[in-house]
Amino acid sequence: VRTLRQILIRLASSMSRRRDEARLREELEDHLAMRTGEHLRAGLPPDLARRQAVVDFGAVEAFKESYRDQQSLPAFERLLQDIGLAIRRMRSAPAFTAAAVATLALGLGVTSAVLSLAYALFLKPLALDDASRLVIVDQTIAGNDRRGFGLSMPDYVYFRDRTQAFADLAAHYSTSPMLAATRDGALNVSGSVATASYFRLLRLQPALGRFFSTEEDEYPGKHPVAVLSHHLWQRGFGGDAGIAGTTVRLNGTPFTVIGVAPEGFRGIVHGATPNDVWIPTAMFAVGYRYCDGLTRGCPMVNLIGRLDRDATIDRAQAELDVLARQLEAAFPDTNKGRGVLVRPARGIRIQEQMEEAPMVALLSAAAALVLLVASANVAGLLLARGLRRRKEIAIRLALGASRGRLVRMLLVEAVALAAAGGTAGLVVAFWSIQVLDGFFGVNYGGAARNVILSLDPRVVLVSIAVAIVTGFVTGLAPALQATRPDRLPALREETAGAGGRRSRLREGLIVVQVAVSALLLASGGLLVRSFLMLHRGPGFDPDAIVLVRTRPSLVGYSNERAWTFQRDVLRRIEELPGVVAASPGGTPPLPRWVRQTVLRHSRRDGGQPEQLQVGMAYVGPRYFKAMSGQIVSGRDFDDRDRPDGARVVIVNEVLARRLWPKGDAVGDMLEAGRGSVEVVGVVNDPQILNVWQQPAPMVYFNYWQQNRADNWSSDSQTLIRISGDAAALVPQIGRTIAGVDPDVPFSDASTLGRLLDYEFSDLRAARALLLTLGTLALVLSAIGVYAALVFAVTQRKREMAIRMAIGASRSDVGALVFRRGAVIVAIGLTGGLAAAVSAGPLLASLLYGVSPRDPLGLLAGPVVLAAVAVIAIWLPARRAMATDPMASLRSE
Amino acid sequence: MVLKTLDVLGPQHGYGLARRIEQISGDRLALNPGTLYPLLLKLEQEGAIASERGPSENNRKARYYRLTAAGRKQLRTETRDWEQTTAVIDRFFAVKAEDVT
Repeated sequence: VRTLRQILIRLASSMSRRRDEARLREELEDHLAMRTGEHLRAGLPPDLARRQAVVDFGAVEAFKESYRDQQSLPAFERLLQDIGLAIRRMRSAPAFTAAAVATLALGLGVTSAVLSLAYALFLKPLALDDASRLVIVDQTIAGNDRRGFGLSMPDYVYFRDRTQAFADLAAHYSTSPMLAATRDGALNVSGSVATASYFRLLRLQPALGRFFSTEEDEYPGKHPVAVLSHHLWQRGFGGDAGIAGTTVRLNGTPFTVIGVAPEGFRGIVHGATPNDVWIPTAMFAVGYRYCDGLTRGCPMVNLIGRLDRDATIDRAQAELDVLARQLEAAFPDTNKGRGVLVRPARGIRIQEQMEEAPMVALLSAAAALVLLVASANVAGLLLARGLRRRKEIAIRLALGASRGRLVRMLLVEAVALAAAGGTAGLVVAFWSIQVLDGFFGVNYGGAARNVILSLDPRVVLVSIAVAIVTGFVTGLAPALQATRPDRLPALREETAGAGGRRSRLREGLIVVQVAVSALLLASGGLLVRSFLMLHRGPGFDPDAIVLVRTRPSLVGYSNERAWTFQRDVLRRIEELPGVVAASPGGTPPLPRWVRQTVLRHSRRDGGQPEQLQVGMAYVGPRYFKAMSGQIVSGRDFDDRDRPDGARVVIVNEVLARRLWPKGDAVGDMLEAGRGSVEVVGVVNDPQILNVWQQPAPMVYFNYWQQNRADNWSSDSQTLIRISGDAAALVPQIGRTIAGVDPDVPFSDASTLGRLLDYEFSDLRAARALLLTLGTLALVLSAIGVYAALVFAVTQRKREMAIRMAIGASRSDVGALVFRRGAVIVAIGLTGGLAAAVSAGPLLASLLYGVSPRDPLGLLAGPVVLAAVAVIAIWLPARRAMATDPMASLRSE
Repeated sequence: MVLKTLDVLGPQHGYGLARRIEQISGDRLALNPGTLYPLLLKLEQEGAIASERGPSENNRKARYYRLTAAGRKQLRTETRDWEQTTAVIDRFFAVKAEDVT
């Protein structure tokens, strides 16, 4: 306690320096006066008495030192002193400070933004009570690398009734499309079908009313009750306090609203569309129609569990493994090869995590590289300043400052710079996160996904720590170098020697910077090429194609009724002015959506029947017109192809060349699925599918000839080719569909260009980031090259002057500087390009229609870099040439 | 020593303390001002003594140090400790070979 008290008092007295100085002086004076008085009394003359008193006292300065040390905390004081000094020094060199702080801010800001993204995607827990005990259970399928499959409800019940590891286990299907009839009209919302245990397990309290009871979740179809999100309650029902007990139609079925979920709760699936409605699993048929969600053959639910107090994930996994094997043995038809994966409820869905991981790794690597460049740059600046300050440092050393003290002073300066950079970096991070949120936080409709990307306090802490470490690391080498005694001739010679030692450390740093910027720019260039290939292939304009998804199956229409609806919709849309062609479709014309099928072909000459896997799509007449595909032989689908008539297909050129090398595809037969089909045409594929992969064999079936037993066959991804302004036409298309039948749910119409942007948002994000970061790195390294050479020229002024005095021409001297810069840049560029080529495989998943060694993509950035570097080298070289030998020799 | 002096002689100023200690020790112990004043400061920070400005004998103002209650307690503890230590050491010096056989 005494020590603590002492520290506090000293701390306080450190702050109030002046008063204590007065006390020190006063004690000193008193002492001397009394001593003098004594000597006077002993008979000495006054001046001698005073002198003797001082002599008796001893070393006054030493006394002051020890008195001050006792008064305050010396180490702390010196630190404060150093910080004060660092701040004054930062203020006295605003240009240097601004450069260093901005550089570090960019590096640190981007790093924290990427860290925040990684956190949101992979680590962020649910914002719920005791979320660390919440786990997710998904199904795995032997031999399938994908993760996150659903389980069936009977499997869930089996697990729930037998598990020991879970305090509670709930099942939910949280991506149910729901058309909710609100007071202001129908809204497309995302619903969740959940067990009664769901809300209990999440420990939520309703904002209004109540959640489902166990009984309501017991009997299929008996209790149509629904819980609304706070958001939907406000938006669709004006926050009506009497909402509980009223009826709302969901996908055409009337439900009784029993409660409202707490504000801010939008479901538990990060990365999915936020949920707005919850219904019990007993009402599964309303939320999912393609199979009966309550049967074992329809694995649609994911599980969320709360671990028992002393259970671990491993124990839960081991326990469910045993149960899953029992199910596998009991129900081989549905459960063969099915296992479960238990994992913490963190981040987005597991499959998406796996898909985003390489992307985030790429961004992290790029951000780390930029931080490296920024640090190298600041270290370079500090080094240069250290050399310039040699004289100052020499004086300090001569006056008795220890080397440790000086190193500490220089380090504190570096760390103070880094801390300022880190603070400014938070601003950059905040901004970068907005940008990243634009890529990762919204779906193609622009609607927010359930990933809340924000600057996490932990990330802020980490980045501040990184800033301080950065400052320490970047400051250490320059500080040690600057204070090396053998580097301190400054006091002996008035000027640096004619030789001007080159700083290998500094040049090494610049090589690294140039290499990193070349690497980033080359990789960015590849992604730009990839994006251009995707988005603006020749003869293809995705912004002139509008997609709208209509789903009569959701409201339980029979296929006859639904197809009548689809026919009416197409007819009315094609009548709209500005519409060129419209076609129904089974899947959107996006690369990642292509389905696969197996074809068998018997040669006309009676050879071995050939079997091959090809891509497939259901399309209607005029699909190729809408998509700018060319029928090269035969005909398009048309009204001759009756739903119950002979089935016909169109094949693409790749498949035609493969099966009919002689070009006689039209009229031949193929075995596909339900029986034989006739080839009526050959088409060259729409550009977009080819961009994504090597042109692959593809077969197009007629939309109107689908199997009626498939109850989703009447849903359509309708494709509309327009001429003119999409923005004006899109709402008109929506009104037209609603005009045909207001009950049928349809998605917001959107252009294919927008869908592509969403579909390839990872590519866009990577491109934007790599290019931005690459440009930053380019600017930084250009400044680095420039500053280093200017510095070298200044240092070697005398050498140059002597060279010129003994006969070197101006251009000789210029070449000397130029050569040195060029060597540095050339080494950096070569290294960076080599790194870019070897990093190619990392990018491969983002490259569409571009080879990782595409020369144009790889070289464009580095060429710009080289051009900028030449300027950065030329300016100092010219300065060297402008040296007036006599003036600079005489000035010394 | 400082505490004891203050205890015996009452409030003193720094110089007085130095002189008294010299006298008590019979001039064998001269307290360096570089030791004394920081020590006084430390004791004051620890709360063992308190100080205030007051008039000195020859019409000068001087800082007077006096013992506080906590200081008195500390003095008692340290006196006891010292006595124990010296007692132990005395015994070692008094020891004769036959005493321990």
